[in-house]
Amino acid sequence: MELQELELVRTSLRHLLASTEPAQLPLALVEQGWDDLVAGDPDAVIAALFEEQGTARVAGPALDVVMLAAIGAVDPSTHALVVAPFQRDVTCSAVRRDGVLHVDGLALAGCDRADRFVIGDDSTVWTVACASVTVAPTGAFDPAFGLGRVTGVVPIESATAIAGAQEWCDAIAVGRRALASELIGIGQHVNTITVEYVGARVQYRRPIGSFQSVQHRLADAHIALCAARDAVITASEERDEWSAMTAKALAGRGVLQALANCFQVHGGIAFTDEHELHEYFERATMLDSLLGGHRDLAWAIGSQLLTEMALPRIPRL
Amino acid sequence: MADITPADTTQADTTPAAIATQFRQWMVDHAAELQPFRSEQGHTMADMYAHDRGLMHLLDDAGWGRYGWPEWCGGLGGSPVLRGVIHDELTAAGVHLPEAYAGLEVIAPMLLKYQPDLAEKLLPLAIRGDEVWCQGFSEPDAGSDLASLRTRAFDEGDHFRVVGQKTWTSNGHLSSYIALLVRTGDADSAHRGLTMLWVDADSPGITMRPIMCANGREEVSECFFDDVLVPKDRVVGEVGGGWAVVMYLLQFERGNYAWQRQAVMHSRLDETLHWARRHTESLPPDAAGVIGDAYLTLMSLRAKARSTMRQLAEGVDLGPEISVDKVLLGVTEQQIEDVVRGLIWPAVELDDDHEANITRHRWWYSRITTIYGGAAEVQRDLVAQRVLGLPRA
Repeated sequence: MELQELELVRTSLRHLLASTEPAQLPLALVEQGWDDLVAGDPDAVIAALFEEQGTARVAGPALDVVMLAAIGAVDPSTHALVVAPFQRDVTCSAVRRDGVLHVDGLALAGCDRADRFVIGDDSTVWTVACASVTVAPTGAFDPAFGLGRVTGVVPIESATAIAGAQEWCDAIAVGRRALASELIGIGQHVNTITVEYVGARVQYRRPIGSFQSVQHRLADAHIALCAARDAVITASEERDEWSAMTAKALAGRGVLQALANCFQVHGGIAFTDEHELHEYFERATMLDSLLGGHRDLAWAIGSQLLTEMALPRIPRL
Repeated sequence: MADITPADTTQADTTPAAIATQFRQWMVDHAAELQPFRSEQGHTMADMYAHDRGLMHLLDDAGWGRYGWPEWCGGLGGSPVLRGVIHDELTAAGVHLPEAYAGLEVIAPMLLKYQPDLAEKLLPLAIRGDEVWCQGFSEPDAGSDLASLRTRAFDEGDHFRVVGQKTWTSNGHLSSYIALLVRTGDADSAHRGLTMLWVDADSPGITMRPIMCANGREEVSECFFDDVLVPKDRVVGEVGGGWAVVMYLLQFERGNYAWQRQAVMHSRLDETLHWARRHTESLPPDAAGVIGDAYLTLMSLRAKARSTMRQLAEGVDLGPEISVDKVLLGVTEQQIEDVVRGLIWPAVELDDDHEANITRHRWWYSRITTIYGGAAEVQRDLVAQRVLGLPRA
């Protein structure tokens, strides 16, 4: 996709995200021609959608749209995805035992549009009626994120198998790449507002952005984001689970590091509820945990390397 | 070397992937000849360079060492990225990358651009490892603050007369030529009054003294210039245009060199993982997390260096953004060597065998990667002021 065209897509996605209720987003995307856009240049378009979502700090089921597309066979305007809860080493949202599915996972804001949830155990992707499980809001660290904790016990006869373990893994890889882009969107936005802020804020009769220690914190924030962005490009070339994992981990690690630096140089104002920074911090923290936090992913990467895997040299030349 | 099969340079497909595949096969076919070069040899830098020369001859004879260099100066042509392919594949096959490739990768692009006649004459010898080049930039009072250097070159008609001192010159005592940055302008002309000269290291009046470093090797030299005469045709670029030349060169020190280093560090981590799999009982409890985190850093350096190397190959002028690569390189080298050292603890502290010696010297060398070629603090200044546009103090 040409750069100019991509900018137009970006702008229209930005407006769409700003003007759409979470529950309406899947349908609104389809009406906006999402399927054609994605068919044309999936990597650029998905990255644009999620970067915009990060920048605007919008909470909604965009992740469902791209992950369910990887699973196939279901309509995201009537189906909502349940991903793994925040739990080390867990990538499934259900366990099958004694003829029943024990569901425990997280659904994104706007899941009330759906009549069926899509869940995955270690071998199968299922749909279950939303009415057969409980959805409890999880305010906690980021109330605006609108995550719901989905739990319940569903007899296997009431569930419909729609795909296998490979599709579930593919969906997670797509989701991790999307989340990496969303995190980068947050990081870029926060870096931009912080550069503006330290250029304007005067202490000791000069802009604090002229102090070397402040400059170095923001340089490091910029460097961390550059590194994460190149990892996302690599992941879209490789299209495998490994590179999606590295992209997500680098984005989570880099953006949280960048945010910590941006928070520090904002001084006290960033601690107040009046300033938006803490909300970006909260969102980034949640996005980092979703589909695997960067520390857990690093551990998973290291564990795989320690077993028998040859050290992957990616990206390739 | 009659039994060495040369690269099939007549074949049309010179994409990186095709060259990588053929080179890999060639290395399998010539495993015996490559065997002596699978580990770092020699105690001194001089020994190492002498040993590496065998490999550089082998690669030059077979053609692989000439890919990515222009045909008019002894190369086989193709994108400069092909050199990156060869370096990557050598290290992936467990071959120790010749030290001289580092200087070559950094200095040669400068000659190709600003002194093609010299490049045509000298590059074939450097590609073979028969001659080594060095950079005479830093001085006792001009480290990262390069524009304050004081080595003077006086215009005396058909030559310059050079007086002054350089230091921290990597491999200075092993080099045949010095890319020498001198002041031709007034003492206070800062970066405007600099000129790059190409100086024969055996010119009368030059004294090189190797400096023993903390890693136990004579990594750098100090170099004294006592009325050294340099002909005018050895000016690289314009008289007074030395700053532009050195800025051009530094792009390659931050791009292509970083690519080389990531290739080396991948094999470094790979070797350590082989060791770790055999010694699971002695690994620290957080080994998996630490290794994963280091891999992530390394992978991001590789991704960044690839993008930079490709852009440089297309002739893109990268400007201050390239300082990002330089910071990433230093951070990565230190993290990898810290992780290696931590995993094999306490070998670095207690053992005196060859492997421990190598690890010790590499760990030490990684400490300087945030200092040489412009300290990490200066790179961060550049990112903050020139990329992000923050105000100067």
